[in-house]
This record gives sequence, structure tokens and C-alpha cells, in this order.
Amino acid sequence: MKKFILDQLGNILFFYSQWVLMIIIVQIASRFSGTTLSAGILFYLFLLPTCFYLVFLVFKYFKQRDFYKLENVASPHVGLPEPSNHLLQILRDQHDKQDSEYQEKIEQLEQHKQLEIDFIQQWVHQMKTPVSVLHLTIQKEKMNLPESFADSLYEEIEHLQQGLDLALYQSRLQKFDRDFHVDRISLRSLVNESIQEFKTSFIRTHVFPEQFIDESIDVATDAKWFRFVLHQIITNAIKYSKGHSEKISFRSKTDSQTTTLQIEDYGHGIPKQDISRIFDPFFTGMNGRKFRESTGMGLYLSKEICKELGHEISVESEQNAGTTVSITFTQPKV
Amino acid sequence: MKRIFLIEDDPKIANLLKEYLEKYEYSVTIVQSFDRIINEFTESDPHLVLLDINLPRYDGFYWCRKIRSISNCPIVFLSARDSGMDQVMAMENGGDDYITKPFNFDVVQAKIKSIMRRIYGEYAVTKQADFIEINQFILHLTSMEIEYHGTIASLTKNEFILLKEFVEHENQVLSRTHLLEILWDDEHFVDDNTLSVNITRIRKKLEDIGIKDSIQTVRGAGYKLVNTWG
Repeated sequence: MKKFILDQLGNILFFYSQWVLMIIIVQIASRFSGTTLSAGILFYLFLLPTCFYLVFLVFKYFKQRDFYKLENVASPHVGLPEPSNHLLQILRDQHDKQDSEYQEKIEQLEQHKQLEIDFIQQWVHQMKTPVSVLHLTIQKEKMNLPESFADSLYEEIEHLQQGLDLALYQSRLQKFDRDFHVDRISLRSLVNESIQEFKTSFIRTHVFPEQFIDESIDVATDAKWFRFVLHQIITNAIKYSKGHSEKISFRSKTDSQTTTLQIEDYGHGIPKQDISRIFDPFFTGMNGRKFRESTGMGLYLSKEICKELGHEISVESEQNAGTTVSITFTQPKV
Repeated sequence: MKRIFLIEDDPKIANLLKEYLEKYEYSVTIVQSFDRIINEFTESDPHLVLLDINLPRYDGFYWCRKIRSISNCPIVFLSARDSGMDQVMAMENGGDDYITKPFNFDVVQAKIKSIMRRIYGEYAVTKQADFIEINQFILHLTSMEIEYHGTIASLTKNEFILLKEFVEHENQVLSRTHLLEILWDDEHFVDDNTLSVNITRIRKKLEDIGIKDSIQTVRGAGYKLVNTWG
């Protein structure tokens, strides 16, 4: 209503200015003929047109009301109302044209994106077969190969596998229908499983895990996605411990509302200036330059996944003393 | 001998698996033609099926339903796909278990063994002797004891696992890495120190029953069991 009146202000002023001008001319003309208009007639001369003008404005307002009301509609996806004049009609046509063009573009982009995601996922699965073959072949020949040779092959296969996982999870995370199945799972068995998967890396690098997680602790999480996060953290912990220290500790802390999993290594640590940025995509920092095969994507993805799962992830570190990664499960305990 | 039917389109993986499983006394048939899977299945009449999901023509879920319509034979999926949805689909379509690639031989073998045992009963597992003997030195597998000329000593679990590995690979150098790997189980993770302590204890126990210096340290490589008593 206010906006309508503001829009009509010019018209109203113009209308009355013309009216005043007319009355002044009539007044002057009648003065020459010796008579003047009485105050009553003057009053009517104002009142009557004002009444008609008001009716006209109200009529006009009701015709355009729908447009003015758009201002208060929160959703951006409401179509424009039926136009009441040609100007609004032109405006609406133009709007519709643009809208459908954008829709088409978005659809195209989505299709491309989907194609790309499908391609990456398919490709990763294709690549997994040769990795499996390599893995099986080495398992088979293990006793016949020189130890250092087998170890180094294992190491490279592990890198391949981790790289493929990274690509797979990255593309999954981008997909609009991500499959999250949150269940209550024993934290200890989740951690133990991941440790088992890193068995050979642990042993090869002479870094040994110790686990102090209460058997009774259950957390609400998606096992598959959470495992990915754990893998990233364990990979880093091993990488930065190698040659520095021999222990990685897995601890749990609980209070009435939350459970926190802490993974602590006593290795190389993260430089102070890098800590705030380690969760940024493609950020590799000082350690990335020192230790090869950093993509800077592992922790970024972990953070994103934790966000989706409702966990909080944080890192504390001191250079040459170690790093502690904490994941807090914020859901209230059942 | 239990028959396993392997439906896997990657010939290398198929052959590696076949070779490995045959060592454990399973007879393995690899599918030859993906158009005749059902015929080949009935011909080989297996005790268990290992089934990949990504296959030429139809996928593993389809074949699983097909097999289910004519047989109750246990089916284990073996796939690179690791999404929860695929695993649910596998079970929904009649699968009994699901293993994701890349896998460990041990895992495959353990799962097959457990399914076989569940379905065909304990007797199905090839009966193994419950002791190993080398020149009158006896390792009892069920009671975890060692015996030499009538003297008996008992072993802890870790000592037993290690000594069994030594006995099975007599005169072969076993690396520390390998020994650590076999000591790790789902709950316990051991370190270098634990390994050394266990080796020392095994030596002591062997000595107690009259066998000296049979576990030798090979510098920079590991340990080996040498027959010093026979």
C-alpha cells in the first residue's frame, strides 16, 4: 500500500496542481465579471474530484495489488501475477523468457555435472580392479619377494588406493542425493577396524597404535563415511610420525552430552601459521611440501563429511611435539 | 572337496583367487561364458558361489536372483562397489555375504570357511591333524602346548601363533614385519618390543624342554627356525 501511494505521488501532485491552476483561472475570470465563487462552491470543487479521484486510485490499487504484494513473499520461486496493463505484461513476458532460459541452462549444467560424477565413479571402480590384481599378486608372491621390494610395492598400492578413495568420496559428496545411513555403532570397533586396515602401514613405518576406548561407547554416525574420515586422519598421523615417534593414541572422552574421539600422534606436528587453514580445499602448507603425495583434499573432505554427519572436527598441534585431532559426536546419547 | 563357482569377469583376479583357494583344498570353477552362467552353474553344482557385481551383459544382482530361483547355494558378493546401497541390494537379491575389493585373501578364505561351516556343518572343514611334528618335537595345535621327549610346556596365544608360523616355515627367514602382521588381530596391536619379548620367551620355553638355539636371529632380516635337535 505504501509503495503504491509513493508510486502515485507524482500523479496526485499533478492532479491537484492542475486543479488549483484551473480554480485560480476561474477565480480571476469571474473577478473580471464582478462575481466571485463562494467558499462553499470552492469547497465542492475540491471535494467532488477528490472523491472520484480516490475511487479511481482504489480501483487502480486493487488491479495492481498482486504485484505490490510480491514484496512480502519470502519464496523466490513464485511466478509473477496476472498483469493488469501492457507495461506489466511486457515485464512479465521478459521475466518468463529469462527464467526459462536459466532453467534450461541449470538443467544442462546439472546433466553435465551428473555425467562427470558418474564418469568419475565408474572410472574409480575400473581402476580398483587393477589395484586389486596388484594387491593379490603381491600377497601371493610375498614370501618369495625381497622384503623391501614387497614393502615398497605395498606402499605404492596403498597410495593408489587412497587416491582412488579420495576421488570417489569427493564425487560422492558432490552428488545431491548422498547416501547417509546414520546408525548407532560401537566407536571402539570402528576404530579397531580402521587400525586393522592400516596394519601393514603401521608395521612398515614402525609406528604402533594404542587404543583406550571404552567398549560401551556407541556413537551415531555413518560407518562408511566416518571410516573415510578416520582413514584420512590415520594416514596423516602415520605420515607425520614416521621416524619421529612410535605411538599413535586413540582415546575417547565422554561427558553427559557428547563423545569425543581423540587421535594423537607425537610426530612432526603442523606449523602454527598453517593450522587455521588445514581444512581448506587444496591447502597443503609446509608439511605438504615436505611430505609428498599431499593433495590437500583429505582434511577438507573430512571436514565436509563431519559437517554432514553432525560431528565437529578440530585439530591442535605443536611443531615437533605432535598433533591431536578431535572428533566430537554432538548428538545426544540415547 | 567343496566346489566353488567363481563369477568374475577379470581373468587375472579370477585366476589368482582360484589358485589361492585351491591351496585350501577347494575346487574352483571359473565361469567361461557370460551368456551361459546358469548352465555352467548347474553343471558345476557348487557348494558356494563367488559373484562379482559389474559383469558383462547383466549385473551380479540379476544373476543372483537367477541362481536363487533354482538353488539355495550360498552366494558371496565380491565387488569394488562399496556403497551401503550396493550391499543392501546384494542382500535383498539373495546374497549371503559381501566382500569389497581390494580384498585380502585371508578375508575371503575366512568368510568362505565360516559360511561353509554354517551351512554344511563342522564336518565339512577338512579334517586337520591337531599337532605338527618335526623330529620328535611336537606342537599341539588345540592345547597350544609343545612337547619334546615327553617334556611338555604350554604357550600363550602370541607365542603359539609365532611358533606355529616358524614350524610351518622351517629354515625360512621370517621378517619382523611378517611376524608382527600375523600377531595383530582385531583387538590387539603389538609393537616391536612385544615381538622381541615373545621371541625371547619362546626360546626360553624351547630351552626348558631341551631344545637349544633353534630360533636364530638373522641380522637385518628377521628370525628363522633351524632344526638343531634332530
